[in-house]
Amino acid sequence: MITAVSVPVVDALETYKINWLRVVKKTKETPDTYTLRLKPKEGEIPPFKPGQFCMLYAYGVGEVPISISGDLYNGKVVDHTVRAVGPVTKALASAGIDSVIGFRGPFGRGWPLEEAEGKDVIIVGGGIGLAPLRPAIQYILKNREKYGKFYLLYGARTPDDLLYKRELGLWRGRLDSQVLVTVDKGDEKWRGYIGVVTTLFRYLKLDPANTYSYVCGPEIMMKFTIQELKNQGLPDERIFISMERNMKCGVGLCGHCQLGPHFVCKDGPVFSFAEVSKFFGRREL
Amino acid sequence: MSEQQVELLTLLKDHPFTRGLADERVKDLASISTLARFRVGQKIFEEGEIHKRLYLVVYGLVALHFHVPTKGEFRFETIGAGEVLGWSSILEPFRKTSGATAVENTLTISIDSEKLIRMMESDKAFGFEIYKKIVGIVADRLRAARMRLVDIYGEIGRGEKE
Repeated sequence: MITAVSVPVVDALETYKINWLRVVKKTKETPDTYTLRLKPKEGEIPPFKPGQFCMLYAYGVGEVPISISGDLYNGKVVDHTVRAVGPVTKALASAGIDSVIGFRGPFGRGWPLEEAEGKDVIIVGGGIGLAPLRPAIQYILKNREKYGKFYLLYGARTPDDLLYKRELGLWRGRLDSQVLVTVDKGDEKWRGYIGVVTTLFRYLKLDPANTYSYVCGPEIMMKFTIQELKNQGLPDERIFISMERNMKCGVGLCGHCQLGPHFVCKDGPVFSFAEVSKFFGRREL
Repeated sequence: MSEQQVELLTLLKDHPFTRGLADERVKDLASISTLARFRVGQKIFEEGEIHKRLYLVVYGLVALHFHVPTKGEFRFETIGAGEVLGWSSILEPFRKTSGATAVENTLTISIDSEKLIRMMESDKAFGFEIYKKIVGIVADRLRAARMRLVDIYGEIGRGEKE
């Protein structure tokens, strides 16, 4: 009896153990968003799947869940893209090179990349929502032969708000993928599409019976994108979204991120729309 | 039929706008159309102008814009390959609701909208088909405009708010 109870307690304690990572590179993506490349002070980064998140701890300020945004050198460093909106994210975003940041994770369920092998994949990102999708994009492009057609649609407010501009340019240059980027408001230098991200569907010919979709962005953007994917004929089971809730413990114990019968931190953050359609767009469930 | 007419008819048949139309009707459309090319930066029409051409974009990209007093030109949408530019040329008062400028070298099929309207009036079934397509385009633009009323890329964060 004692043993049965003590096992989850020990596991839970393990998940609360903070590892300390050093900032080895910092990239300014937009005026308030930075990508931090973190490296362990010793040992390796725990293995992770695209779409998972970690808890990042700014010493003396607090802890926030942040999606993993890159796996270029898996095992040695890990990228997190942080938008400075509150005290903790502002502290993280102001961390300089060689600063030390607390790290727990990775947590949760990522994008179903193996399930989509042999199929077409469409990824739709909005604003900073491209961050959790970036490792999936990198994985698919690195393993291009495992997938059918690959589409990436990305929308942001202005050209200045686009994340990963250099990488976006490289992705757009690939001949084996269709990468379309749009902004709400272009400037004189902008030569690309203007309009909300869903308008880009006009330029695609999807095969709905053979396509997986991964979507991330603010819920309102995902709502419109899901409508469009459904209009295109994709079933709820193959529309995957990354949900945003107030995640604290990371392991489904505290209940802060409960979404109906699910804990977003443990059962998500990636869900098929079939799993969460009843709760989508509703708070405090 | 000249080489240019054959090219025009082929491009017209391939364009999504003519999907579902009878071959004879596509040929009729070809008879009132020409190919029109626009260079980067070239104005296609001005906001407020009465411009009696309907354009089917074959390739390239066109920005729609209007003038905001004291702020200048505001570009709010782009029209690309497979899309239709200038729907207001077949709906009264035929006045352009926005300006249009090519942002890429662009090839279009330019349809004489006065002749098109006459064609639609003389063949109501054909007219209905064209209006269904135009309503679809306008509905699409309305949907996009509604989405722009909310800041769809605004708030996101897994655990922290402003």
